Amino acid sequence: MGIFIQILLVLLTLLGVGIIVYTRNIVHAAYALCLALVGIAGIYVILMSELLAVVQIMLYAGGVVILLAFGVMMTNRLRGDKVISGSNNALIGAIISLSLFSALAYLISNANFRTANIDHNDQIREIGISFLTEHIVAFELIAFVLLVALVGAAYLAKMAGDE
Amino acid sequence: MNEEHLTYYLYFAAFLFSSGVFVVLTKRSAIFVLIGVELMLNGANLVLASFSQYDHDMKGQIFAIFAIVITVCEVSIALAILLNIYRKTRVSNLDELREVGN
Repeated sequence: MGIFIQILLVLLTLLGVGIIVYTRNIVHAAYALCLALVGIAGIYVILMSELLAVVQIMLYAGGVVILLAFGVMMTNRLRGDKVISGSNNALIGAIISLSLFSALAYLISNANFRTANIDHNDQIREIGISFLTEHIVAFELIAFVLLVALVGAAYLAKMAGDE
Repeated sequence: MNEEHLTYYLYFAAFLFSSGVFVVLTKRSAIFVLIGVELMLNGANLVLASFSQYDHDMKGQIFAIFAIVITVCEVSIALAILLNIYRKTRVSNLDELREVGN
């Protein structure tokens, strides 16, 4: 049963990635990205990273995809264009990405990882404690970076609106 | 979970990363390029999460959460910049973009 769900989630993600690679419609690509991200969130649950799965769905599938759809509407759609985008250098891109994949697959097949069985109980509590003790500097910095980035993005978008 | 599962997920993450590279290299629209970058970042996060299950401290998961927050910042800034470029030059295909500036 578990292996069946894993294969299903991987196929869902592969479907999303395949649609992104083949489609020429940007809105379809944004929704296919949403599909792939939900599939990856399910894989996170199987990999025993439940908090990461929740963060993935809330920030990526909820935030980033909506932002991308807004981006499409604010650029191409304003002029009444079709949201169709061509592609070029398909052969060179395929060669580069396939050789990258085969290099990575060669490294993975030669690697020898030792694995261990570890119980992850009370995971969110552990992560919260380590955010506020061991990783406190990174935690505060990331909050500051998020604030500055959001204010900056709002300012840049306002500048665009004033033109 | 044994080692076969780990390598299987690593292959899957490598596939996600290289298809992201393909999308970044071939598509014309800037928003498509952003989608490709998202795919690459998800491949990297999947590697972090799949190693994190063998770690007592769950460092991989914590790192992946930080990476996701940085990605959200990046996407919001990138879309604001794209909006500015579009309003100024009426261009959303990266090939047609010849000048950045006034």
